[in-house]
Amino acid sequence: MNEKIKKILIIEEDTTFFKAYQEMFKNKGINIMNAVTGREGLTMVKTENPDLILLDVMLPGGMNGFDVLEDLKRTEATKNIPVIILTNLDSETNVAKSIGAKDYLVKANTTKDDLVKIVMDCLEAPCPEP
Amino acid sequence: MNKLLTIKIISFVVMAIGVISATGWIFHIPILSTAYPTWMQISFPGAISFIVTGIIIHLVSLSFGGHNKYFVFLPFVSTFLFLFTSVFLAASLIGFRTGIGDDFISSLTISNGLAQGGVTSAVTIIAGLALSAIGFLFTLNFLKFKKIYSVLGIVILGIGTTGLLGNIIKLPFLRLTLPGMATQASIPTSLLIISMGFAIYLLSKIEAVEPTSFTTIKSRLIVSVVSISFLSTVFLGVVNITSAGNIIKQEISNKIRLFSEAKEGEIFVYLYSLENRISDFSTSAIIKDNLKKVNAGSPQFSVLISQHLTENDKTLDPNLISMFVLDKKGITVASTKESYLGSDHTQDEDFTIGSKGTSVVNAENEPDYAPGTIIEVATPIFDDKTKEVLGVLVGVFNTEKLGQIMSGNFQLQMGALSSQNSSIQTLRLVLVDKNKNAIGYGNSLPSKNANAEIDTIPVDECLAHGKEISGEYVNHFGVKVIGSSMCIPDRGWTLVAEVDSKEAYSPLVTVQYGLGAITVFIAIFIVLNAIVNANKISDPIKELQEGADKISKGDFDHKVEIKTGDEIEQLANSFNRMATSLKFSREELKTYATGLEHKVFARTKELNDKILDLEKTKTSLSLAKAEDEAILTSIGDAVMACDKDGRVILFNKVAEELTGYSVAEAIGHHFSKCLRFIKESDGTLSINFINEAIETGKKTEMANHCLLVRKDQTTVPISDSASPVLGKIDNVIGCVVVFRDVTKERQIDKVKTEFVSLASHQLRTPLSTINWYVEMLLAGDAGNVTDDQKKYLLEAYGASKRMVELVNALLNVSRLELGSFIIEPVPTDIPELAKTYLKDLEKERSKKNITLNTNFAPEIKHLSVDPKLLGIIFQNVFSNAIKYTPENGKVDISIGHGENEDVLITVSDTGYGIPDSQKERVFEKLFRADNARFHEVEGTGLGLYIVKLILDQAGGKIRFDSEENKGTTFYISLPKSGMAKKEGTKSLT
Repeated sequence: MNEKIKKILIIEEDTTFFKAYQEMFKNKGINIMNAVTGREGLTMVKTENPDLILLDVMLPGGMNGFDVLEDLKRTEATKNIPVIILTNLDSETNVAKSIGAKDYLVKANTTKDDLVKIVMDCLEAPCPEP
Repeated sequence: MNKLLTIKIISFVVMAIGVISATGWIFHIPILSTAYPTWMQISFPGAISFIVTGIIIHLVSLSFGGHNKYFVFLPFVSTFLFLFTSVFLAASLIGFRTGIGDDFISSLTISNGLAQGGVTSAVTIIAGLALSAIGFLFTLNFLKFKKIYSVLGIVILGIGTTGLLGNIIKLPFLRLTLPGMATQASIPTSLLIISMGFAIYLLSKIEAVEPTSFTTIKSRLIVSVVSISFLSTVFLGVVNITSAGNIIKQEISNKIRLFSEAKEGEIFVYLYSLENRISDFSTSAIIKDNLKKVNAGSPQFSVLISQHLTENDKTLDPNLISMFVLDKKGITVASTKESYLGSDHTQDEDFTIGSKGTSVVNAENEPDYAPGTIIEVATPIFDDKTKEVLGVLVGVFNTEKLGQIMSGNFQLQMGALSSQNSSIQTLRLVLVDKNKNAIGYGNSLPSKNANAEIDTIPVDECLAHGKEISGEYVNHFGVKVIGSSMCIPDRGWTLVAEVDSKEAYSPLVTVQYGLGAITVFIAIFIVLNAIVNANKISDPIKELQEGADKISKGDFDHKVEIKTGDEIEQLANSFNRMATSLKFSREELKTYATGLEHKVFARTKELNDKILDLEKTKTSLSLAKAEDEAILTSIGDAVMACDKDGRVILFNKVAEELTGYSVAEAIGHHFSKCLRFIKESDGTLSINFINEAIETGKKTEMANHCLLVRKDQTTVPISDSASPVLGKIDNVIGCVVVFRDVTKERQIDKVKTEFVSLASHQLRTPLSTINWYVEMLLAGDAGNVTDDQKKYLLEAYGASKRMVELVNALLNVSRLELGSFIIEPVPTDIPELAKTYLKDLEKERSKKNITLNTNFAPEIKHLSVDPKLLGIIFQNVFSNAIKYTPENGKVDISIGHGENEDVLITVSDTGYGIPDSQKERVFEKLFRADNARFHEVEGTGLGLYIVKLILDQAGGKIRFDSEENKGTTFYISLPKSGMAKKEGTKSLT
């Protein structure tokens, strides 16, 4: 189908979720990578240059999701990479969007189908504004 | 200059000049009476008028100045002036001589014909009348006639000025003389009258002091009777006496004049006889012939003439002393006395007059005879043929017979029974020649200085002016006489007839004494009568006054006994009746007062009781107040109270600690001084909520997240509220602001929020993983599942979903309760939003076969609401309607306008309804109605609680109608302006 395999970087502490994402997106022709801390995530963004970043807010290592998002948006090379906040912390929608997140999804309130659809839609560049 | 002082000075000057002038008249000091020149002269009555006028003006000015005890004399002097001037007016109009002042006028002034001492000027009369009028007016009313004073002042001033002008420019009509006896005014008189007029005019311009002195009725009566009756009587008496004297003097003068006329005739007859005798004798031929010869130059013939003269000397007339003949040259050529011969008579009257005709001539150059003892008669001697005057024959007679004729002795000798001196002893006649020698002197009484030179006023007048006069003067004896003069100008002789004044006036003095005595008697009678009458009138009044005094001191039984039989007696009777009724009234009053005292006593007691009650109330009130104060002081929150103008009236200890301002610094100042609330977000001042509370009378709260700026400029997070203090009639009388330090609460909130977030995160994490894996299982991602498996999976999935929803709901509740959620209104298509949420419920609805009717007003598209919050509301309300409506039921949803153009959302179902007993608990947290629990297991009991919380914060309202087993209708209204924006940190899920 597509000429190039899309890369999604998932910055997420809880590997249970990463496993679930792997299940969700297997057979979709998408390469999923995982970073556990914010710093790791940022490093991987530079090395892997992903097409989409799914970012959790609660991250270990002193740098939370918003800090990562701000860093990404500050950096010229990474500022155009769409970022979707995917977390179980809610009610920070406005903050996230003001920093430049494409979407703010609460895991518990998002069905698997919806999540897959949002991610797939976003990979179809350009990523639609929510 | 002080007007009053000016008036006083003028009055003194006028008085002084009057006194000086009158002194001049009385003591015959011409310089004082200014007898000469006439234009300087002030008449005697004028002088008197000025004295009196001066006194009047002075008295009036004293009274004006407040010294009104002299006031009583004013009528007296005014009456005097009035009578005085009116006598002169009457005298002038009728034309009689008053005689006033005549006694003071010296003979000198009369004889000169210069002085009119007893006559006053018309100007003085008019001015005097006007002045007396002022005195009377002033007596009548102290201040009322000020305008009249001013007019009269000007009139008097005008009169004086006219008189002065008449005197200066000699215009007769300006001199204001009266025909008869009122003369023109002299210049000083005019000037004095002018100054008096000026003084009176000034009087009218003075702000007078009201009279304060007390004058008794008695003294007033006496003064008025005395001034009117007594003075009038005295005046009448004086005028009578003086005018009677005047008439008698006139009469005497006339008689003397007649007498002197008669005597003059007798003298002329005698002298004529002497002339005839000498004339006859001169025709003797002896004289003529011999004289002719003597003239022709033969002197020896003169002896013949002398002889002839001597021969006839004795026979011709017994009084003939000697005779001599003058030749035509005037030389004595013949004489009975040899010593005469040769004497030259060329310049003598006997030759100068005698050569022209027979005449009595003044004896001159007669050394043998004392002056006045001889009379010479000279007659010319004519030539019979040529009628040429040959010479003069002169006969020298002694005055013996002349004296007898003049004294009346002649007629006694001739057999008459009486002569002039029989009736008037001092009557005497003097014939004075041109040398003032008495050539004839007739008086039966011995006379001293009979031969002295007669140098009296009548003689002088006759010799100097040829004027015959009648009047009183001092004769050559130095005796005061009344006399009359006859002038014999041909010879330069004067015949004077005179009577000693003493004798002439003796009948007059009797009359005058009589009149005087009568006047005095009448005057004494008047004074006595005045005193008696005054007493008669004033005594009862005094008694009345004393009676009134006694009554005023409380002696009501005092009776005034007056038996005058007139109004005063009636007054006394009325007075006694009044006293009696007063007594009764007083007794009544006393009774009443006693009653009153009892009442007052009772009332006082009542009052005291009330005061005691009040004191108790006050004590309890102050206890309560102390309690209140203690509460306010010990209350954990800061409390500030202010009046409606914002002035601080209460500031508790916590407020002091919190703000850093002391009570003393706060009380009485505007609250904005010590309460500086600012918004945390932008630092703007946020104290309007207090003003709002005062203005609207509603409780208000400060905007969220405010800081208090303390005195030291540090800040504290606070929360507070302002409550208006309402008066009795619901008017705002002040405001109470309660605020507290929320630093700790903030910290707790933060911890709480973080906990909730963390908890929800931790709860959701496993749930979301479960959900996703179940979804994948159901989707067959892990291979096909059997129907049974699918059924189980769905159950698990549903339970997990509900779990998520519960967590969401709890999270929302937590945020709503913390108030930390955001309301962010944006224009929203409400019907579209509603449809979205209905779509989510579509599955359940169709499953239960519930009919859904929607009625959305198309125009409500751009209401400003927070779509997320309204979504939560829709979700809860719509899902409740579907959930609690049995199968085949009906749900109606409408969106339209309600009251006041509010947006009204109505959700109506035919569900189980809410039991009446539980209706009021519907919006409570975690509440579920019993029937709802029964019919539907699922439900958190948080939905309507959340809806209510959102609407409360967003400015909307929710209410419902419900009937059990019939259905429920929820009404949700939003203001037409949409939801109110709210700052916060978290949005709801």
